[in-house]
Amino acid sequence: MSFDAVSRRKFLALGGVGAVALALASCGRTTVPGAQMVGPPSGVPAAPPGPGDVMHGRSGGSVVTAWTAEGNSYDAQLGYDLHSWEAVTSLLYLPLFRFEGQAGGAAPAAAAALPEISEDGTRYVIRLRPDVKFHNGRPVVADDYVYAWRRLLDPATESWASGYFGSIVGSEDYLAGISTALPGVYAQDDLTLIVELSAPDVTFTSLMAQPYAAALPREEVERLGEEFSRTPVGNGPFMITSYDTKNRRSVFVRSPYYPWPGLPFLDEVVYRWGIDPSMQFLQLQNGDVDILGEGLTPTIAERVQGNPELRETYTKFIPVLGAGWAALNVATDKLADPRVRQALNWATDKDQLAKYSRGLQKSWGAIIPEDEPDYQRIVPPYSYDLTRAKALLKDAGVDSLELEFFCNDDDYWKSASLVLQQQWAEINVDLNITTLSNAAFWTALDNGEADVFGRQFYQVQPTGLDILASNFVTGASSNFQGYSNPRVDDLAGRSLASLTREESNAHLARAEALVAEDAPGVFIGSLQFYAMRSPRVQNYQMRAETGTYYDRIWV
Amino acid sequence: MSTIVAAAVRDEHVEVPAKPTKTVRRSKLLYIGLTLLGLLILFAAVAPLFGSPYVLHRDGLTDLGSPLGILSPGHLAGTDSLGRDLLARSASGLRATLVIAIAANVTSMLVGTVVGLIAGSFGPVVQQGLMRVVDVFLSIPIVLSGLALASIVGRGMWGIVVVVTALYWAWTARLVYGEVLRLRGRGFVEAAAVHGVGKLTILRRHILPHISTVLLNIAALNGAAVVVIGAGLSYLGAGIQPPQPELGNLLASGSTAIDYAPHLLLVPLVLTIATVLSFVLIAEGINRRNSLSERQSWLDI
Repeated sequence: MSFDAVSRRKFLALGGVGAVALALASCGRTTVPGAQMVGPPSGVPAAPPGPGDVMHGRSGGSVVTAWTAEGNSYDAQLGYDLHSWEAVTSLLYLPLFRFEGQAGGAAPAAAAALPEISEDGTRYVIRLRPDVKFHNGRPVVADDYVYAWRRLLDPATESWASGYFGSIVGSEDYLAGISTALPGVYAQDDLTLIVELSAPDVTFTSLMAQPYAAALPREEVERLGEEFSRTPVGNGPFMITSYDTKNRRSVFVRSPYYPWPGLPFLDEVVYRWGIDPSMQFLQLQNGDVDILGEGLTPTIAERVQGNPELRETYTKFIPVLGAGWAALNVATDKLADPRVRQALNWATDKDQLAKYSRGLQKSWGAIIPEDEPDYQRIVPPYSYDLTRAKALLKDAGVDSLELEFFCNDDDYWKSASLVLQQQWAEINVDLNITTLSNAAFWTALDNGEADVFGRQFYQVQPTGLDILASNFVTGASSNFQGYSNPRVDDLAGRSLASLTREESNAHLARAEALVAEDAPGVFIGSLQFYAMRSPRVQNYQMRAETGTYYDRIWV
Repeated sequence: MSTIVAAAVRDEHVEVPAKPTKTVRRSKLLYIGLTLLGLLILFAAVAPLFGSPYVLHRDGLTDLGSPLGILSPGHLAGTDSLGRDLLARSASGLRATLVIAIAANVTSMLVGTVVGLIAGSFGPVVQQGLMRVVDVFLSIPIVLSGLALASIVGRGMWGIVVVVTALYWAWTARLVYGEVLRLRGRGFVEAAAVHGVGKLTILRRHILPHISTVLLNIAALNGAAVVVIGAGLSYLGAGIQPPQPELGNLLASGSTAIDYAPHLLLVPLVLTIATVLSFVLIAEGINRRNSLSERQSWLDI
């Protein structure tokens, strides 16, 4: 058909059909199915502890991870926010131990074997692998741990993690600056590290699986000075090659010194930051980034969970341990009576609240997560019982109550506070909601202005003691409720000083029962986590304690 | 001059013989518009029957926290992202939008008509003074000035009425002023003036009735514009604030959910379009019907 034969009407009709076809084609974004491939045999004989395996995969390629904010530091002993934590845990450093599988405990990584622990639980003998090297090529020796741990406990370092090593002999005086000697840590030889504790610590092996316990090269720390915070020299699977504040990106390349031949698969990992969650998700869909560091956040959860195709393509459920609760300021007169606090727990329908988390929390009325392994609780979780709540308030002589709920710019708590407002209205509790900026929120908490406020806490130790000791022990770093019960403090101490996990958990269960009775919070759920990654990212593995396992990803 | 006109200019009451029956061209558009507006007002009036727009229903979300879609059990129009009934919120939102539209329309028409009549009837100083003020108001971009004004007068329902009045009175004033200028040179107005009829009486008896059609037309078109700007300001966060529903803020929250819960946008969008359409149809209907226009006014002989 020649062009001349096409009438004006036909031409317009054909053009219209073509335009519609083009529009329809552009509407239907082609998405790669989210299912992960098996991949070619990798030939990699072994891998450090962690979830998944490395039997299949191929070398090469790079991934880009997006973060909301810049990390506070890539120094293993200073980094604490999510961005920094993943960098120091999964990229830059290899601690003595790493957690095994998806839910297992510590297993040897930079250490040659699990520590030999004395019968009284106070002396640890740790044998090191001879093939672990820093990124400058120097082998890691026991003295590097002695140096690193002394630095961790040095008040001049100002490490947030120094308190975790308080059970090492001499650490109290060292931390206080009274003594320069730390007799509890010394190198027997290049490959043997000895640690002596003043009391048993059931979590100590797990502590050595944290990045702040990794070896540091003294010569590099001293050479780089302040720069060690941005471009450190570690011993992990990747080494940093650039940190660009202006363009908000850092680049990590495969370390040739990683002791497991063939790993990591990736040539390069790029971190980008300063991108808000909605934009991150668009970039993920567009292929500009491959992994969202913070995973599925409340900001995008509704959109992703509401669209089965998006959910299937980009999310991966990661079992984690953590708790969410509405913290109650026990210092206020209004909430001084435990019966009032218990009434609020009974008046809260956790099932309804869980829906507002968009899958990031499941209904659970206790502080220790429902799925805590090897844990036998002795007190049932709070459920929804309005009659009981009203009776408790009546016993307490409270007809009505007016409470101030403060929340920051967190999408979950903004919604959850509305639900609590509605639910508590049924027992004549009037909840006034104030939304503040993040900085103003924490200032208000410090000033004790809030009666109720939202809290969430992920375990970074494989024991529920991490949640209880951090949030409900007198003076604990995250005890914003102002809660104090000497019996809880005592039981938490006993749990920590236990020689076995069973014994530790038995004390923990008794402590949890006391916390439940005192109800310094309205316990509403166990936290859940969905990782967000592009379908091109294969063998994506993650644990809440560590973040993404970049050493086994392939593309 | 006929007896009737002479009596009229003297502001006397006379028996006017029945006007010869004329075939008024009926406009279906007017009735369609009125019916549509009536239905919308009825829907808004019975909003409480659909339940509270603020209740977060326990069954209002799926287990993964997604809103329920249209025709879900117990929620005919589905729910929003907080599990609130969308029918209840839309009806209440429509009510707020209509209250704003009607109130702001009445006030802007009132102010605009008074200013236009005065400017057109008095001397050049008053005329120039008022019309330059009108020019200033007409030159200001509506959305930007609306946002600025809203931040000053507040973001509640009555705040938005004040804002919309301030934005729209000048359009009415300009049109009324033009009509007054046109009419004041007409014979019956001059005759009334010659007979010593006062200015206010001339305005009331001779000019106002002749611009009534124009005013009705402006009111109808203004209604449509006021719905759009009221909802627009709420959409931009300068109008009624959540959780109080209004079509604008419902559209704003719905627009973010277009890819996973399109009903959150569609339901308020349909109501907004229907409301604007009803006003436009009424205006067009009046224009076509024209039975009250100057040419077929009851004062025409």
